[in-house]
Amino acid sequence: MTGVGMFGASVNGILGHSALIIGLVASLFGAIALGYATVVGDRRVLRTAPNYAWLAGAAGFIAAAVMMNAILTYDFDLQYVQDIGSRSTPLLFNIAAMWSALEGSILLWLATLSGYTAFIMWRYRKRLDDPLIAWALVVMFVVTAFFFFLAFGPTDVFATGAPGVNDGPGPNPLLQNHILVMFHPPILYLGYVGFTVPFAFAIAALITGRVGEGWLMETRRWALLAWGFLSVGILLGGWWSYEVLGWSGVWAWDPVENASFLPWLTGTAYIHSVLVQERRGMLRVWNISLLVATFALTILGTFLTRSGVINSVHAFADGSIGPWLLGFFGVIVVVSLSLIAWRGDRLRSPGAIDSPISREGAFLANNVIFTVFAFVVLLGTVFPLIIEALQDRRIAVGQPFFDRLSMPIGLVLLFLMAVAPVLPWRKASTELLRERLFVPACVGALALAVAVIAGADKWPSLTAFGLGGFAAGSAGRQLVLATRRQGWRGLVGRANGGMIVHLGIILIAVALAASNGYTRVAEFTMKVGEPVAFDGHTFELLEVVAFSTERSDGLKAQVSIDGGQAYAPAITRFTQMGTDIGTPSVKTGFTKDIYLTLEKASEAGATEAQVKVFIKPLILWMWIGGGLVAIGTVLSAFPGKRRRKPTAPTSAPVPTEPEAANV
Amino acid sequence: MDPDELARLEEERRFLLRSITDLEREFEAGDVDDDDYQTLMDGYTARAAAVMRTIDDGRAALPAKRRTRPAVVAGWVVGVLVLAVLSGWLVARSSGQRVAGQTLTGGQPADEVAIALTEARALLGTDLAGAFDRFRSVTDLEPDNAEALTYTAWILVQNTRTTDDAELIQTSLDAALATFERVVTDEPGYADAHCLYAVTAARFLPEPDFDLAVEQGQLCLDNNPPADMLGLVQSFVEGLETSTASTQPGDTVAATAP
Repeated sequence: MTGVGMFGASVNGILGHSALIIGLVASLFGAIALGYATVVGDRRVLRTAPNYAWLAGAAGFIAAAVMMNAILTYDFDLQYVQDIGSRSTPLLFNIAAMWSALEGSILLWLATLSGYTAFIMWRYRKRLDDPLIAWALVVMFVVTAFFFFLAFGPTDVFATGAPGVNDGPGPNPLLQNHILVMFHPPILYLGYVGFTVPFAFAIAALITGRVGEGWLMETRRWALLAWGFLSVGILLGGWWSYEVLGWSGVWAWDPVENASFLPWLTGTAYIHSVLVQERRGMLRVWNISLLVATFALTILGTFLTRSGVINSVHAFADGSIGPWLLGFFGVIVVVSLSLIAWRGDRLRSPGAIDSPISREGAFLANNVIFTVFAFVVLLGTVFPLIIEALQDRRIAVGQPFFDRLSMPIGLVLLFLMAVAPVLPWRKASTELLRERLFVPACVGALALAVAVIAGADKWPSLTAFGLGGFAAGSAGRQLVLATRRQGWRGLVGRANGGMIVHLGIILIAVALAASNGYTRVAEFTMKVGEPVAFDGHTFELLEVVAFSTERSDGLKAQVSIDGGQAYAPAITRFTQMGTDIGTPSVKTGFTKDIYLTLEKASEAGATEAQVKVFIKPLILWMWIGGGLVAIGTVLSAFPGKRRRKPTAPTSAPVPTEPEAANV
Repeated sequence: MDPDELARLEEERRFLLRSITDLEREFEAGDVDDDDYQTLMDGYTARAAAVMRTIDDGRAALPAKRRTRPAVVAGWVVGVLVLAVLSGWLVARSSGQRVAGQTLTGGQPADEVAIALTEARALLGTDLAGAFDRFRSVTDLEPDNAEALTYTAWILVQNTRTTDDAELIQTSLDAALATFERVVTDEPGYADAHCLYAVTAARFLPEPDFDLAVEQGQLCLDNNPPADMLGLVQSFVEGLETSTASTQPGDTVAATAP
């Protein structure tokens, strides 16, 4: 079935192009109308601005919906459908095919961004005469217009394909292997694109000169929301990697992973450091710079992953949008830095950090560490590009670089996670520290002892377990104190929700330390009826069976673990692409996963097969930690009982000691 | 003064100045009489003046640029330099040639193996010790890697030519033969192992084993050896089959093996 209309072009193509051009015009008009109305004070023009946002939002949604329709109805008149569509791909993976390559991912970005713009317009529709809101929306319109342009022009998402094509290869086989491909990219994009909102308010604050704390209050939840989505999206990517790629790892420092991790690092620094500005009026330049960096890094990441400069499973080659994205990145950096320089006199802090052993001192240290972390990851990621540009040499930066530097940084962050929550603002006395750190230190010592008893013997892992316990004790102490005072409401609010996020991050860190340090691997040529033993388990090949679908065929080995349930690692051959894809089979447990991959099997009914066995300790806790991060982020977005009103003065008053402990 | 309050006052100043301009325009057009004009103008002017004074006071009250102590600046500079040098050194140390299909950064353990193998292959002709280290790093990651095991053994064999220590030569040959045997057993389809095993048996053993060499040479040919080695291996095997040890059949292959 094709969608050729009376003009000889695809109906979907015509609709899609129309939506993109309408969206582009609406975004440009929205930016111009709002900017003009704000500068000259024309309320009549101001009142028209929301219409442009609704139009742009609808256009972004329709463009994405049209492409989805084209994929699901096999409209092979469109080049994109020819590239990634297939009649034999199941519905689920056909839906996910939408964002499996460059054009669709740009559309997903666009739909998300125009949706955010429309929602922000709706949220603030009664306050458009506030210049801060108006300029923030101007920035959002400009960014939206850029992506409409990108989709309409350089990417030409709805380009017509070669005539006479009736079927396509379908998406990359790796993207047809697990349900997580449905969720990982959209959630990641909600986070990635979501940082446009606080960035827009930061730029608006610089333009209007309102660089105090007002704009922070407006964007607090938006930043948290974006951060939460980005965190969960990254973790889902790790989960997908674990379940699909067959090497039993969750993180390989792949450039695409790095591209999502970079804004997460600066975004994490921001959501901590912003507390210092709210409470003490300090770190204004830091906060704005961190937001600018976060947004700029999302654009740089998009450049890295969409321009074809890298080579990975996520990277889409042959893109023509690289120079545009790089140019946009340059514009963001130059404009933002110029505005910061222009408003330099107002960004100075009214106070100074009284003592490094204080809440604000810890947050500053946290900022520095996260920034160093971001620098290290950025350097490793762009180093091969720089070398290639300067010396025409194709090099790769290996995982050891990232591992060596991220390990000590991660340990320092765990330490800060333990200490910072118990520190008061301004200054901490030795007695107070001793009192507040006693329980967390005991928990840390206990965690260390348990790890040693369980057989842990490598110092980096042991340090991570000890510091993880220390940090968990600190977060737990805070939550216990809060729930004692306020009941279940003690779990709500930024400080307490944040502690739940901390617990989630600690679980992830400990699970990573355990699985990286103590994974055991062995490869066996298993024979039917001859069990093999490894790491306290027995594995027996029951049979090798064939399976076949319309798009693939393959072999799976039925392997019984410890004489119980059979697990079936498989190798699937996608017939249209001739690609073999391994599918691991995992026995999940609270203390360890047993992860099987089929390395080699000759044919159905064969009496032997080559199977690799990975024993992965504590992996399940990584996903549980991710769940806690999501729950904690939601709880953080709601105000706690003792939260100060957003309209209350922020810089001058310093909370009294009991209040400070709750913040 | 709070920057937000200052910005609000500046917005108010813009509004008052714009109102004064509008008032003058309306007065010139005859929409406002003299008395109203004067009254309104006085009001706007007074309010604008007051706001401007407050703005001036507010600006003066903004925190002054603090002098940063030279020691602090020096500390930051040193810190940044140390970070830059350390990370630059580490990133250079952790980088290597990118092979086809390999990601720009990181990668799965298989990618690390691919990097090390590529580097090792590049070093085989110029730096045997360096190549040996790279192949050993591969076997650290993948103890059964056929290529790394084969060429580790081959380097051991070649090194016997650089020493007169009979005991060392024998130890090296024993280790190499055991490794060749392991690879040809585990990976019988890997041609290189058969080729190099054959050459070793014919050319490097104190007492050449031509039967073994012929057998392994033939297995090499049966398993599709690399195109650039095919002709050499063929003549090597034919030479073994048709001549005696005096023809030294392994010379050519031994000299040209990677």
